[in-house]
Amino acid sequence: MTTPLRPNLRRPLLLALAAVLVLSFAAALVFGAASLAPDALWLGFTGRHAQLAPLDHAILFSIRLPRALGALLVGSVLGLCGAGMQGLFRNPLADPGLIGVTGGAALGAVLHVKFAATTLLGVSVFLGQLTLPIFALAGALFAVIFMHRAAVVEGRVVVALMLLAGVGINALAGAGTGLVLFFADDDQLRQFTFWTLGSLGQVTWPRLAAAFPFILPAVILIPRHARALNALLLGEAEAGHLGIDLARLKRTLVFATAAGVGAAVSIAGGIGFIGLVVPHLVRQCFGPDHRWLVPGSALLGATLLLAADLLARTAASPAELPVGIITAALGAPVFFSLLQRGRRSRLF
Amino acid sequence: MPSLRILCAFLIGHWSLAIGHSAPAAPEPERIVSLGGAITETVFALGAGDQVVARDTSSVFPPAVHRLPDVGYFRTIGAEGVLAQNPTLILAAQGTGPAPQVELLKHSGVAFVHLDARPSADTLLANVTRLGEVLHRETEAAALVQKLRGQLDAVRRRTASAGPPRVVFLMSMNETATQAAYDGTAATALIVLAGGHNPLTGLTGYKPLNAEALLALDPDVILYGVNPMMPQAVKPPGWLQGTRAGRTGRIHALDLGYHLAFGPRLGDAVTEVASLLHPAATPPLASTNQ
Repeated sequence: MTTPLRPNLRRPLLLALAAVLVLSFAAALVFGAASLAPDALWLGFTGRHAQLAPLDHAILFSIRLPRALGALLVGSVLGLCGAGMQGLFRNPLADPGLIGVTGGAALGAVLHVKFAATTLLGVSVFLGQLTLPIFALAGALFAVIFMHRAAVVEGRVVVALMLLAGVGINALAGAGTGLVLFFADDDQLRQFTFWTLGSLGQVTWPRLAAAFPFILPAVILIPRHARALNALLLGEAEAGHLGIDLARLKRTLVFATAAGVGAAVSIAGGIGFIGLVVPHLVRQCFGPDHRWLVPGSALLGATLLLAADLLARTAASPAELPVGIITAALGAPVFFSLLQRGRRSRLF
Repeated sequence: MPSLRILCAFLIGHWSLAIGHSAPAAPEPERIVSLGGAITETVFALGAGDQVVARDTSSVFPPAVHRLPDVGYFRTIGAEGVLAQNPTLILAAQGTGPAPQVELLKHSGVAFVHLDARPSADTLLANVTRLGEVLHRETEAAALVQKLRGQLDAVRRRTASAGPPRVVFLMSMNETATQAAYDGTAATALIVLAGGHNPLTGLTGYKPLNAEALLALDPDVILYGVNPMMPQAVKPPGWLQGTRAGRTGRIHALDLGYHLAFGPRLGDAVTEVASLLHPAATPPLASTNQ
């Protein structure tokens, strides 16, 4: 491992990360395809809504603010859950997709896209715009419950079985998704394609409000288990000897992750690489201590997604790129350089 | 009294200016963002093309649209990008998305007109009439509707007597398989309008069809889609030549941006395709010679 920071520099760096996050949040509100009046932001956030041009008001409060909050929430929960999963599985390649969450959410989404206007018309009229997020979330939770049942041997969760079950569930969900897509019409096909590419353009106030309660457990629970994750670094038996209730830890983290990532995927679609790359980047600076790694991953994940979404909205303005393309395009080179450095220090 | 004269001149000038404003009752020109190829084409066909300030990626005809800013593919537009064009009127094909962004546009205070986009002649005629009202071009719209009706009726009359040939439409052909048009596609609608019959039914949209199944089906005519930007890129694969259509030289390319656009040029497109499906019934000048 490359040398992490001296311990006394961790706190200033974490604060600096938080400052960058605040700056990128502000940038997400200031920049966009439309140009606002220079004082629009000031007027809007000091409560003088009446002095704001109606168009500026709509752009600021109906378009940019929910979108920036969505990027903040989705990016931080993806970073958090990535750090949590890598700690839990003691595997640098673990990411929430690995335990079947993403596959299950995609199956839920495609079922909704296919049947929203026919079989499930009553449901979708009742739930309105929340139908797609709720379906995706239900798919994610189903996948994880199934995976969890498959991985329990004599009351203990076996990590290797959990990973293998995740692979199986991803394959099954992929088959189900493919089958539904085969019978979908062109409109539905395209809708689903763009959903998998990921976009924060789907985020609106009601959807944000619906996803929030599902994201909250991950945000609260994963940092609280940072010490247990540290103990787990020593090995499962050792962590058990240190008094960690392993079965409970695994259950808590897996379900918090499923709810958090499921909700994130449901409002923003498939956003690649943040859950995998961000914890690695943070580990380079802060070292493997989860008390720093977990909050650092949340901050950096949110910052990266805000920046990527800003790029998605402005690079091809007035058109928009899918943000999943940008996060993967930014993430993959970073990942390769990490591999390169790891190889040099003979880590792998 | 020079000052009185100036006052008179001013009053007269003002008065005539006012007359000049009110007399033709010309409506304010709109700033239109047009989302959907057929809609953009119709707006231009009705003579309101100069009011279009931005378009979506699928709007590629007439050539004049290419100098307009492109707000992205109409299925993945961003509300902010559209509103940044300062529109006074947004015309959107059904299918414009994602839904939350469309909701934002609908509630943005800018006039928003949603138009049906199902590929059918009735939809097209209804859209032309609707756009005529929205753009205050009722006369032009009525003329266009009449022309389209005339062309479609003429084709129906010419092709009614002969039995409909069995026609399939293919896309993305390769050496072993292809995508074929089933129900609900523009291709099937076009085939029916041109007096043909598509034997592939029971599924919707474009679905994979393997080579063997197509050979067993042995249609009378095979049509395939080519992208207008690169018409030479697609060649029908060799195995198609063994079919009845291949042996009789009845494999034809259609322009995806024209024949299947279901825009104001539909009448011409249907007439052309009908002459491919019913060569005997439509000798080019026969109808006028009789």
